[in-house]
This record gives sequence, structure tokens and C-alpha cells, in this order.
Amino acid sequence: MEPLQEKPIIYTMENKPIVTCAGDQALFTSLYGSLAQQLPREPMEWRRSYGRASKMIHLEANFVQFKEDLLPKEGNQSLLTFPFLHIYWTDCCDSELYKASVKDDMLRWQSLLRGHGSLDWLIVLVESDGKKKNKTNILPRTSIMDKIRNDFCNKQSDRCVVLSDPLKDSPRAQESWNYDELDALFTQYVLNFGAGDGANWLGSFCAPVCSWNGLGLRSPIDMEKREQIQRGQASLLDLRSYLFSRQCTLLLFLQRPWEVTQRALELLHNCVQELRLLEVSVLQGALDCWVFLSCLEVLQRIEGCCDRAQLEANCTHTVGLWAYASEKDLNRTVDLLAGLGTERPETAFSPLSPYKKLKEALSSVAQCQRLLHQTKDGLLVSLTIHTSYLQTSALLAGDANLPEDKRRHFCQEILTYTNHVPDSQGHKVVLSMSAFAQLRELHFRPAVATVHVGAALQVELQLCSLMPIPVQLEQLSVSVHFSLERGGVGGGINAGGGAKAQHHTGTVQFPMETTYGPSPDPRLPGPALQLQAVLDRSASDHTLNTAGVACKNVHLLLRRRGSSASLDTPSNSISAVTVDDGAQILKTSGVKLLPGNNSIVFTAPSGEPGTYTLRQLCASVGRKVKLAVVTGHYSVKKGDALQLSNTDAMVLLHSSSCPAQILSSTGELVGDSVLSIQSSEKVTSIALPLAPPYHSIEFRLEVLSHIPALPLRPQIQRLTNGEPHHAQLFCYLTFVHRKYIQVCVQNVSEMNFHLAELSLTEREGTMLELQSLNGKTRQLVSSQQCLFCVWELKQSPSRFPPPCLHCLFSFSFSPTLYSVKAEILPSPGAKHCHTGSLCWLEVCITRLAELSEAEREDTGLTENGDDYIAKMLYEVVDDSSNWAVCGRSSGLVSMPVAVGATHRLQMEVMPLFAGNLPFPTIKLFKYLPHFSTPTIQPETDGCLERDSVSLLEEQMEDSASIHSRGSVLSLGGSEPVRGPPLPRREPFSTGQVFYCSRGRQVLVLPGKDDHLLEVNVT
Amino acid sequence: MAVCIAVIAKENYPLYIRSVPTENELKFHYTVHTSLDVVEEKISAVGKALVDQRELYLGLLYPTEDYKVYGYVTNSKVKFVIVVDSSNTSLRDNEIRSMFRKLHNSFTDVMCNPFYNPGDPIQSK
Repeated sequence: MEPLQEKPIIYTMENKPIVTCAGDQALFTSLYGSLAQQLPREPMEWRRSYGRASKMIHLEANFVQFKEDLLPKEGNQSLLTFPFLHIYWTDCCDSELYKASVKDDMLRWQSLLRGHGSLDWLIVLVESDGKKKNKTNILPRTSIMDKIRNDFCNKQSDRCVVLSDPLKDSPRAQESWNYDELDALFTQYVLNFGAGDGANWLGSFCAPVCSWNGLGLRSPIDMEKREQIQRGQASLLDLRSYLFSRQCTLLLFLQRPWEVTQRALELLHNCVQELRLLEVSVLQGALDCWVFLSCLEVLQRIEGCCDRAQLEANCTHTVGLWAYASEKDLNRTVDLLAGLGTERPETAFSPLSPYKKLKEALSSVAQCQRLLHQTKDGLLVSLTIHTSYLQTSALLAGDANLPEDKRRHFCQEILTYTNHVPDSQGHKVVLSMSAFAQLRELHFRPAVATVHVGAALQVELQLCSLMPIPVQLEQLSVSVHFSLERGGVGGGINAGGGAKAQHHTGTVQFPMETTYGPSPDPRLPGPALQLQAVLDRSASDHTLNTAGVACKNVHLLLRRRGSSASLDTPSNSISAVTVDDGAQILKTSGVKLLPGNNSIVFTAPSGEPGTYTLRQLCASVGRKVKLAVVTGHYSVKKGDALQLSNTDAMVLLHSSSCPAQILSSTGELVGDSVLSIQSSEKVTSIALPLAPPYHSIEFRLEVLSHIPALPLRPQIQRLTNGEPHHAQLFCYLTFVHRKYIQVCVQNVSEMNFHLAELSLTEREGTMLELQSLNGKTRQLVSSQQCLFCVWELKQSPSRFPPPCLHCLFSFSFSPTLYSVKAEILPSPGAKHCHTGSLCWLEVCITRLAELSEAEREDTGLTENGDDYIAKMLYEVVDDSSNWAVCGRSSGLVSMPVAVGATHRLQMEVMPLFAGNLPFPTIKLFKYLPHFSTPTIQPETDGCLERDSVSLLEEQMEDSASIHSRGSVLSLGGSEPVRGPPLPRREPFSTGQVFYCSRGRQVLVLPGKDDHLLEVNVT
Repeated sequence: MAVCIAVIAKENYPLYIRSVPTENELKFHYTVHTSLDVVEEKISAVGKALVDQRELYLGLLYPTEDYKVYGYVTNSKVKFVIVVDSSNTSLRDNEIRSMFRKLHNSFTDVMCNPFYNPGDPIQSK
């Protein structure tokens, strides 16, 4: 049988599974043509092991004549020469003939197969119409079929098929492998191995990794790796690399490049994890190298088979790889070169192979940094790789702190790059000036800067070049903004110089801008270092502990400019600067910038009357806000608008329209548009132009920033007005005779401000003295923070305070009536409390004050002769569930109203945890018997009553709501229903009860029996 | 076990974030924050393709070398994010799904609490 060599090579099936054909060769040859053609077109179900979902696949097969040599020898597991299926073809429909010869032939075939352990076989019975007609009436045609099934396929009737119309049907192939399956199976083995399941053959993959040359995706089959795998010398990375290269080839063939990037990321993560799991020893940094190389290789492979537009549209798929590559730190250089091995021949002539890049990078630190720069850049904008590097070079070249030769080197680097850049794509790199030169002075001629239409206005710039060598500039441009508004004055041209204009001299001077660190200009150094020796002596024996040098003005030296990227400060933008096309531009060509000061003269246009403003210069004083709207995955549709809320500090200058640029993700200009702007006092609405996803819309707005002269005033006014912006929480603290007032000032604004001279005064003339306990005279209140201030209320001990103080905030003053003191004691005989063992909680309630007039009105008292008896309800609540209260946690107390009257309670509690546990909270309430008519509330139904009680409780005790609610219910004994009023409780007003033990803690040791912790106490 | 769990409000501010190694909390906050973009993309993709709207589980959002980030979005567009350690191979898709289901149930309980104001940070003891 001829193999299918004449067919064109298809990537999907370089190696077709081998199917042997025995039996009637003439019959098969007649069917072969159509079979080989039809088989790949027929989708078939591929049932997969390990519970994965079945898939429909298209399969080709290599049909060969059956020979005994083809059967696999003992131990030979080679998949490529392995015959997967054996088919016996016959068109016998005569039972005599079957018995005489065909059956014997089949038996021989079967025994050969069985001898070699090949179990995948199939018998095909072909029925042709001609033969059927001859014999059809003698025997039913199923009988041959039944005979074969009886003889060979006991219970496996699907091992024998009948083809009645061979040109339409094709035999189904049995299971086979592809790379996904191998990959998944291998993963499963690795996981099992990691979990301790022995698979000895995996041991060879646990050998130390000594080669990390990354994925190789250039050739459809990596023969080198394949051989390594065959020889059993492949490392885990090799096997994974090989499998992935095969998957990649298939996916690219299927035109699914984005799946490659996705799978690549998965693969890289997975490999790193697997090596960790298998505890394979890897040289430090080697895995980073491998990941880095692999990322670049995948990206390059993808770039190679997609055009730019496709790449840009699908950058979401590549960004993950870029990010992963840029994460990798390639600082260890020494030992890594060895493991890179030699470059693959197919990439040797490509100047940009990842291998070359990395090898170069590993050879020198500078190169390494550069490569990383490039990679990080690729992450941002995959095509303007060099821009950032150039910008960095520019900064370096202009930095006076670097040695002269270094600066020359970087400067040269920029110049050579500019010469090399192929401008064919119209892709121009424009760098911000500030790194190269600084503008010192601007001089107008004539000095008034006003000329008649048609006359020339000259602008002379003093530029200080920071470059160490002369730089030939192709073009120097200054953009000029032109407006008609104020141009009416005699039709002249007035070139104002922005905020710093000095019209009478015609000269505008620009102070040095402070940049990062010391000033880059040696002639005008930045703030000098203020150094100070710091000696730290130990307090006891005056020996020197540490000595050092401290810099006192670090904040000045290390200050960086405001990072608000929206403000267009040119020196701040690292990315390439786009020249504002909308404005008029003054140009001078062929300028040579010498190191140091240079003078350049521009001639301003004066074709139309109006006001010209030197825009780039104005920009540096922050008059324009550049807004960039990055669309992300969203495409801007018609009618979409951007709404800006105007703040007080920044006023948008009114204009009805402004030009905008639509940029692609690579920074290329896609289109221009004019935005219409509608603004009201509070909101400015800007209609956005249509923009596709992953583009940005950039436009500039003119704003005036006011620095408010008294920024604090409005805030403070708000404070006193009590607007909701500033919550004021007052609380009144009390301890017997000492009263405190606490004021909480909460700053809910975005600004920080200082509070100075805090004072609290009262106006009623009650002769109260408020003593401030606040330490500082000035307090900083940061944004979203609170400041607490405390005053003590001074009063003579003989006098009670006035019952009520009417001020802006009113408090009711009441004497402390009761003190509640709690004590927790270990059970008798034990030294400490233990978890799970019972302890005693002793509560002591003491009356502190005489009966007051106000109290006499209270319904909670019962009269008993001259004495009054107060009925109170106590409750022990533990919100933090540290304690279990055994027995009743609440109850009634009645005690005489007399100073010093004391009532003691004792109950059992059980600590549930070990540690310093806070005491359970003990609460005291007034108990109002059901027969007394509530003073505040008339007859109400139970539900309402309950609500009012809980409301009161919430005011008094912030954390008790749920618990106390529950106990109100239990107090009534049943669900509150409409009916007679229930006994009620009412909280004491603030300060009437002093809880001595609030905040106390008791040490609880862990219990001896751990199982006691499990006891469920409810 | 998940190393970080986050509940993100419809408006993309965190209602609840808890990470188990507390010393590196900021990193997890960052990871969760980053994954929100992917959530947005997935949600908007669902809208376009009109795939099964009842499927709340978003699957793997954002794999990194050390962590896997899974997402889940409720019908009210509250997002759940679970970060698990990559080396933890016992957590398969099914386990993650059940974790999300439990989280969703707890979240529903919180929402049913009359003392909880929708939109407030969620407290957990």
C-alpha cells in the first residue's frame, strides 16, 4: 500500500496513526481512495480519560498492509511506529466460503495480534450490491455477520461492522493521543507525584535544570528536543517546551494566535509551579531567564504571523506576557550565560532574536537595564519601544552628576538613534525639551511686544543646553496660541508672556525649575546639602552607640514634582511629547545647540490681528489642563459626554469648543475633532467624539487655578454652621464630682487643616469654669480624621452643677446616683480563673446621692414610710461572647434610696477563652412596674412600646442593641401582644450610673481539660 | 484555603477584604484591584455574547506566578474575588465554585440583616 506521500504536507498530522489492513487486499484497495479522502472530513468523538469532556476531532490515518513485523516488539513503546488499529477486511457473504477459508485467516490474524498484545482490532464486512443480489435469497445476510460475531467478538459486538454502502461510511478510529492530551496527562502525573504517588519514570524529570534556553517556536517540530525526549534526557522544561511548541504550531495553523499567548502564560506559570512542586534544583535566576526568553519568543512568534493592526487590536492578549516578562529581574548575570546554550540555527541570522537580546543583556548591566526598559516599554506601548529609552538617555546625558564620558555616550546614543530611525512609517519620536535644555529667558523685540499687522515680531529665547556636546537640531518649535478676543486694540499684535509677563522690558525670565534631586545644571546648584553629624551616646556610660551623618533638608533634595499627570508639565511626562498641532507654531530650522547658554530668535507671524500667547511657556505655569480620556474596551459612542465637577480652587475658562486629538494605543494620531463644551456653575459637560476602543482622546482645557487666600475660613464656617460635612459628636463624661466634655471634630473634607486656639466657653453666665485638657495649641486635623478635645468642668465641690446648661449643645447634668462595681473571683480553692471552670462574678451597687427632687417624681420608686425603695433591673451582657453567664443574667434589685446603701449580687460565670478577658458589661435600668402609667408615653401597644425602649437604649449604650432587645422580650415572659401594658425598664440618663469596672480585664488561664472548651452553654 | 477574599461593591469599592497572611495585605489589595479590570471585561463580554446569564462564576481572572485569582459576580453586580495560592493543587474549579457559593450565601445573609446598610463595609468577627 502506498503511503500518502503525494499529498501536500499538512501541519496538523505529520505523523498519522498507523492502521494495518489484513484480509482481502483487493477489496481494501478499491475502497482506499474514498476512505482516505472521507476520513479526515468526518468528525468523530474522542472520548478522553480522566473524566475530561469528549471532543469532536478530525483524524487522518496511515493505512498500511498488515505485516507481522509491524507489530510492536516487547518493550518498544515508540508512538510513531506504533500501529494503533488493525482492521480485517472481507466481503465474504457466503457461509460456506467463510467456514472454508475466511474464518481460518481471521483466526490466524487474531492469534498474531494477541501474541503481540495488540487489542485494538476491527473486522469490516463489506457488502456490495452485486454480490448481495446473487446470494441474497439463499441465506439471510446477517448470518455471516452473526457468525463472525459469535466466533470473534464475544460480547463486543461493535468489533465487527457491516458496510453496506462503503462510499459513504468510514470505520471509526479508536482513541489516540494529541498534544493537549499528553500535556494534561503529564500534568496529572506531576500532581500525583507531588502528592506522594510514586511514578518512577518521573524521576528523570526531577534532575537539576541545566538549560534554560526558553521555548523554541520557529520550526514546526523541534527535532532536538524530540530526540532528547526519546533518549530520556529531557528535563521537565524540555518536555513542556516541546509539547508547547507543537500546540503552538497547531494553534497558529488554526489561525488562533491569541490562544497561543493565553496558553503560553498558563504554561509558564505552571512550569514554575511544577518545578517548585517537584523540588527540582534550579540555579537562581535561571527560571527567570527561561520565562523571560519564552515570553519574548512567544511574542515574537505572534508578531511574526500577525500584522500590526491585528496586534494592536489584540494587545489585551499580549499584555499579560509583556507584564510577566517585565516582572522578571535579570540581575544575576554570572552563571546564567552557560545555561543558555548555543543559539538555535534558525534564529542565528535574525538580529532581534530573544536569545541574542538576553545574552547581550546578561553580558553587561547597562544592557540589561536597557533590555528591561525596552520590555517595560513594550508593556505600555508595544511599538514605541525606543522612546522611553531615549528619554532616559536624554535625562542621563543631561545629568551633571554623571561623569563627562558617560554623558557624552548617552548623548551620542540619542543622536545615532535619531539618524538610524527609519521614518518610513511616519513614526517620529519627539522628546520633551526639558531633559535637553532649559528655557532661561524670553525677550521680545520690539519690547512692547505689540506690532502692526505685517510687521515682524521677534522672540529671542535664551536656552541653556544641558547636553555635554553640541547638538544639531533639525527644528526648534514654539507653539503659539492665537485668539481674536482682545485683538481689537488698534489691530496690533500683542504677545503676552503669560503670568510672568513684564511688558515694559519685553523680557520674561524663567527661574530655574527644581527637578528631582540636585539641580542638573552645575552653574545653578539646587539646595545645598545640609549635613549634620549625629552621635548617639548611651545614656548611662556615655559610650558611643552609633555615629552617622544626617541630612537635614532631605525633603527639599528628594522632593519630586507633583505627580498629577494631568497637569501638563513637560518635564514630567516620560512618554513622547506630542506637538500640539492645533496651535500655530513658530519654527526655526537648523539650529546648533552648544553646551551652555544659547540664544535663538524666532520671528512671529503677524498675519492676523489678535492676541498671541506663547503657549508652551504658559503651560509650564499650569494654566492648561491636559485631559486624556482612555477608552479601554469601551468605544465612545455618539452622545457620550464627560462631566467635570468644578471645584472652587480651579475655574474652567469658558469656551464653547476645544480641539481634541484621538490617539491610538501606540500614541499615533488617528483623528482630530472639536469638542463642544457646555458649562454651568457646578458642572462642565464635554461632548466626546466617537472613538474606538483602546484609544485615547486628548484635549486641553484652560483653567485658572486660584489659591484661596484664606482656605480655612469656609471650612470653619461650615464647622460652626454645623453642616453635615463636619460631624460634631459631643459626649459628656462623668465621674462622681468630676465632669468632662468631649468634642469630636471630624474633618470630612479632602483638605488638612490646623485647629488653633481651641476653646469652649459658655454664655449663660452660670459661672462654670471649663478647663482645657488639650495639650497643644495647634492641632492638625488631617483629611477624614477625627480630633478629640476634652474640657473639664470645674465646679466647687459644695455646689451641684446647674441641672441643665443651655448652650449650642445642651446637656442635662445629673448627679451620679449609683456606682456599679464588679469583681470576678476564681472558684474557691483556685488561684486563677480557668477556661471552662466556674468563677464568681460579684456585683456591688452603691447609692451615692441623696434623693433629689427630680427623682421624687420618678415612678420607679416606691414609698415605704419615710424611705423610698428604688427598684432596678440589672443585666449582665457579654457582647464579645467571652463569658457564659450561668443562671439568670438579669434580675430585679430593690434597695433603699440612701447614701451608702449597697446591694451585692453574686452569680456564676464561666470564661470561654483564655487570656485577659474584659469583664462582661453590667447594666442597670430603672424598673417601671406595669401598673404605673408611663409618664412620657401614654397607653401604647406592645410593639410601639418596645420600639421606644430600644430607641432609648441605643442612645445610651451603643453596643447593646440586640442583646437588650432580646431581654426585653424575655422579661415580658412571652411575645408582646396587644393587651395590658407590660412592666418596662428605662435606662438611667447619662452619667447617673457610674460603672467602676468598665474596661477592666481579668486574667483567665487555659483550662486543664481541653474538651471542656467544647461545652455548649446557652 | 484561599489566601485572600474580597467582596467588591457594584461601584467597585471594597466592602470586605481579608487576607490570611496579614503582613502582606497591600499586595493582595493590589491584586484584587487589578483583577477588577478583568471582571469588567468579562461582564461586558457576557452582555455582548448573551451567553448564559445565570452563570455567576467568572472563572480564572488573572493568574500570576504565585497566585490564582478567581472571580464571581452576583446578579446585583457585586463582585467576589478569591485569591488562592498557585501551589495549592487540591483546589480545582469545583472547589473554587463551592467556595464562591458559600461566600454568596454568607453575603446574602449579611444583606438580610436588617442592621446592615447596603453599601457599608461588611464586618466580620
